[in-house]
Amino acid sequence: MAAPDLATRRAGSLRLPALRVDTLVLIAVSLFIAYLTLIPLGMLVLGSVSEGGVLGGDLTFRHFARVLTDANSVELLMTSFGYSLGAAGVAFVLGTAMAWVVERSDVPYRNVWYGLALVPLIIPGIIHTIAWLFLLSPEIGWINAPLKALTGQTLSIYTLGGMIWVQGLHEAPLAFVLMSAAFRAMDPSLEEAAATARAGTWKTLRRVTLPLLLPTAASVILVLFVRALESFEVPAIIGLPARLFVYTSRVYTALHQYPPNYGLSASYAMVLLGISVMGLVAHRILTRRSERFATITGKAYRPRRVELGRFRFVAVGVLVTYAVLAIALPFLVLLYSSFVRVYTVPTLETLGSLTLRNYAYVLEDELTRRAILNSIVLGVSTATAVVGLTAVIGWITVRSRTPGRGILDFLSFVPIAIPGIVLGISLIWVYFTIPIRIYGTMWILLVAYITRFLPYGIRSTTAGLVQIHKELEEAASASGASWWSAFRRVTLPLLRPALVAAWIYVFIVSLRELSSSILLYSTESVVLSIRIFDMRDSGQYTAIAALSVMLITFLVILVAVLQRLGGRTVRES
Amino acid sequence: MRVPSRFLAIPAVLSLLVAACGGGPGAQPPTATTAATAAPTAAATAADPDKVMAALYDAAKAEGTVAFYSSTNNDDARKILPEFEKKFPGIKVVHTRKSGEALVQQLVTEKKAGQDLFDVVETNLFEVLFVVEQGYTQKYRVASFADYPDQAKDKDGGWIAGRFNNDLPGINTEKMPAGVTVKTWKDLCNPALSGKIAVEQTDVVIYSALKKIFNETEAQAIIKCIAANKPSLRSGHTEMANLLAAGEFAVTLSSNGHRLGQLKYEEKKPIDWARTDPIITDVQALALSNKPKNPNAAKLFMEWWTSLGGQQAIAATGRVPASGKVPPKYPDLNNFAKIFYVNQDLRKDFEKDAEFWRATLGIK
Amino acid sequence: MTLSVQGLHKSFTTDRGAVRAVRDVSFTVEAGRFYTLLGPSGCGKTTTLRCIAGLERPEAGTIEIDGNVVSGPGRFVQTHERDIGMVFQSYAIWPHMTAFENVAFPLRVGSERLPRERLSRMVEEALALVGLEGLEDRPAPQLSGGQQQRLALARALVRKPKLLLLDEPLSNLDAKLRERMRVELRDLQRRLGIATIYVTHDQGEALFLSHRIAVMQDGVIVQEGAPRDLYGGPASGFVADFVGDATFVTGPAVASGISAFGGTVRCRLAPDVGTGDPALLVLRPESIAVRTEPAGKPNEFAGTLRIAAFLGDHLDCFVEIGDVLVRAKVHPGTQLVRDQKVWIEFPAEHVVAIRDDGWRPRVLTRTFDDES
Repeated sequence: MAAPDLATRRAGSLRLPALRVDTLVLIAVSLFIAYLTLIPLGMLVLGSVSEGGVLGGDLTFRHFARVLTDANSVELLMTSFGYSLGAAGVAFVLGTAMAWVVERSDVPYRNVWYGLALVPLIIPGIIHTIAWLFLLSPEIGWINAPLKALTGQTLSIYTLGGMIWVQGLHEAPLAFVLMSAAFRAMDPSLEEAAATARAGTWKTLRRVTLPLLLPTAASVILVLFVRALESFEVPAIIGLPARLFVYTSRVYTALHQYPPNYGLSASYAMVLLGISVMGLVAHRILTRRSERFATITGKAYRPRRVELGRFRFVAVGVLVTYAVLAIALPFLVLLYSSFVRVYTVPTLETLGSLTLRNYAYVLEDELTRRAILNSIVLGVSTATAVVGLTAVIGWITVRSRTPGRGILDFLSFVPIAIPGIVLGISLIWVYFTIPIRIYGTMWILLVAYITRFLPYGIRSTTAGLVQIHKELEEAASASGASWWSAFRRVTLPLLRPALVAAWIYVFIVSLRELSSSILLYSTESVVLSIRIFDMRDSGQYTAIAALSVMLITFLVILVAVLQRLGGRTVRES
Repeated sequence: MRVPSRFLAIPAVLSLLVAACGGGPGAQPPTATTAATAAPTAAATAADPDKVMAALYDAAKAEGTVAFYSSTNNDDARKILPEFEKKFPGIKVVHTRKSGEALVQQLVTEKKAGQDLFDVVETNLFEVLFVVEQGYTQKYRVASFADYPDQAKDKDGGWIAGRFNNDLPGINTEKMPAGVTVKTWKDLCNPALSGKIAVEQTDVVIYSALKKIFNETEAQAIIKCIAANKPSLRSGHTEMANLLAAGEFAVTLSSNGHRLGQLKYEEKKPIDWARTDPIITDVQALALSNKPKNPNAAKLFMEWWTSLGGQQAIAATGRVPASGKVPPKYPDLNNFAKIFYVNQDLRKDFEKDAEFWRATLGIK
Repeated sequence: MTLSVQGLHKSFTTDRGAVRAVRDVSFTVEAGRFYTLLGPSGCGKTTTLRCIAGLERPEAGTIEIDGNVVSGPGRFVQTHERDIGMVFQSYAIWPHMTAFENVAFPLRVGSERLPRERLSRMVEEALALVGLEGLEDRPAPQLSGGQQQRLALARALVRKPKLLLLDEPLSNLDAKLRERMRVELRDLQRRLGIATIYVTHDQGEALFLSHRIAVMQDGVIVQEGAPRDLYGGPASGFVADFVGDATFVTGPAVASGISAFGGTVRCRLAPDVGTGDPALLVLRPESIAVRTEPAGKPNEFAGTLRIAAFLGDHLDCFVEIGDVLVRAKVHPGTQLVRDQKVWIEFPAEHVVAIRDDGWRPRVLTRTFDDES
């Protein structure tokens, strides 16, 4: 039975086991992650206990004392919690429902829905929020005018519900992207088993599908929660007039003083970090026995879709309603705005004076062109780097029994709680201190982006890996594949839906990143979000609208192409 | 090198004449008189801005760039800065643009790390003063020094303002309740404006200024009665002005004059503003780095920014130039009876003022 | 000798502290033999197999495959460098590949680049071996459960390894298919003569397939032997219970048997059972005759028939004698009525009494009164 080709291999195995490839990769990645996240984290901690407005002061706990004695803290934290939980809930329910219909039912035009569902994510937060203000303001809302005429009642955007709704809608695509990757990777026989046990579709969904998706769902909710927690636009534009104040504003208010109180800001940020860490701990407890949840089993399966039958129209109806509310209405506001000179309630008069000026302005602007190019380069690089890094980290945390893997997981999640401005300051400091001269170049932005978006990548890839039965990898080892070979040929392809989802998401949020970019960019490395920020500062919302319309068109096409690539993970004949 | 610079001086003089003749009727008389009195002083001290700039230009050519840290937004900057580059070929302005606090954060962090990267800084007076106090700047008196009102410059040349942000109560004329007028700060207390007024949440400086204009009791009374009108709190002046134009509210406590002017004149919106007595003006100051990488280009840039040419370029964007010789683009942003300039003194009580401001308006 | 495992130890840390999964396990497998690790779940059989595969790193012990130490003091050869083929419980068929690609994978990741034609030939041979010829281009997800099982086997065999490791490969199949597959598996293993380690909790599979069986309990091999020896001479009640069905009767050993059923049961005594020792009588159901009249033979005891279930090939009877329910399998043609008085009888040479180490099967104390 002995094949001659195995003889050489056995001879090779006689040497003492040197450092294994996976150990080396693990050490390298751990060091890199520590480098990326520990420095800004250290800066945050250091800043919070330093005297004076900026770094280098004496040790003090004055800032912490002030944070702890802040009379409004409790109220602010409660509002933050209510808002963030609500927004995470709305986003999760909407995104998951959409994902299920698109991935697991025979609803027609799936690719179209996939592209459309992402649109709110691409609209800059400021535009999305203002568009909703223009729809639901009691004073000038498009929806409220006919509503008042019909019912005498109006809906007000200036409520906690309004904040939750707007933020939830904006983040729903994130839930959609990540959850549809999970649905796609799930073995339908698990659902079918429930169906054969005479459980109805709804019961199956509730009792089988959702519990199986728990690890992914927990990750997604955690990310949604923290994103809402650190969000800026909705609390500023809707929360403030409603007099609903969130905790995040403390971080910014401290920087708006004369002189800016860096230490106080850092101390408030530490509280946010604490909340995020609590979320992470809750998440770990929830998904601790993750192996039970492997849904890509070794039994290969065919992707099967639930036949909706007469519910097909219901599903299409739900999708259309969502599309109208979350996509069409804001997009319509956006489209209309891109053709007028100043944002205003449409009248016959304004409709008569539509103009292409905004498009011309954006297209002719050399700075905007450079910003678009830079942003795409950065987005692609960041998404690729984050996905690559987190695939390896995810593997280490989910599969290996390496001591300290929990710390690695934690480290890659920590940046979610570091305010962008703190990250920006610490990076400036770092790259003046160490002899790597990347200040003022695209590289420093890349470092910032990778650090900031590691958390999103890690949650997505970890959730994806948990779903892959570990015997699939072990079978590769038992077939003679080295760790790297097994990772590359088996793990990565099976992980592809999760990776593509994470890639798309990180790419899009990279385009939106502002708070650290603003400190790190230079004229050469100007990015899109900076241009949008500029236009916002000079009041050119309509130019932003034009830019957004073009961006959305471009990104929907890009995502559709990526979906085609990512969708082929499981062969369909 | 003298010949080209003399040629360059001619258009500058021409533009001065054009500006003088073309200015709004309301703006013309004071500008003319200021120019007349200022000119001999400049000549007497032999500090003719054009000559100074010509000399600096010669020296600056070797440097090639000037690092300009400024919160002037890119859309205005790309109208203003090419004028400089056109006038001084071979010298490129590298504009690092961010909002005031971020600009200071970056600059201070760079300095603390021992990096001297900026040549000229330009932003809110408060922020510039913070940088000046840290010792990161040096004194430099520009040749056009005399053209500027005392409140727009440090008498020793520590800083000088290139432009003003007028903080004016903005009005949507269509949304104003019938019979209500806003002419003074106290008019904002009118109960008819209840629920129709918007306040930018960080505008503590307005209260600090009112304290100086009136007195503490009266200033507090004004803020309190505005608070009684249940103002809609907002974040961001531009946003607030745009929403005013869209009709979300009838009046704002304080909006940027030039944005109101743009909305009124460029966009033909039903916008106006209160000509309070006095109006409050936020000073946008300019200061020279203590260790500029491009010292000559830096000085050249400061000279140009404060010269007639630079001020006209600033005025062309709709922003209000600080020089007494250049009228703003929108004439009724200049015809104020009295102006209160935001100054150094207001910073002293900042924390206390902020506390009152937040407590009164219910900002948590 | 193809495989030698000596003094293997492996423990895991879990939420509830350390669990010693494998304790001092030693055995050898000769070339061409089919060796089964049999035991209930959690007994350490899968962990032992995974140590052999190199998927777990043992704390102590030596594992040799074909004369090479693959795991021992200061030495651990990675899974992919061991000369093994493995079939997993879940089959672990890669859903992103075709049948051909699945089987070709072990050849492609090897250190030696095979010419395309040789690779194709080897894959086709392996697929033919398991009866999957013609399905090369079929995407793996479109294969039935049985086909996926065969595919996993073909993939494990394609490299012609020294040792084949099978981790409960049949447990995911339905009953009929499972029976067919075990015939095929036995035939294939005997034809190829490849040394095979098989892990299962199904004694039927173990008896059917194996040359030798090791019964494991709580991380320890409690008995090892040929199927016939295990069945006929279990070393403990646990083994007797796990390998085959049995009714257990306790009683002190006497000279010719044990004292039970209100008299003396004549039987063989295990060598370590001395007179007076507590003993456990192992009554195999097929050794017992059930009659409606006494036949006057030795080892005949009267009782009441509680259950007589018709199972086609036999009647499954439960006879109550005192507080013991004795199970017997009798000819399906026997006419028996529930609750009638019956006599059971068994030949002394077919029954063994072993040392009573305190182990009790769960059914021993259960009464059927409430169900009758």
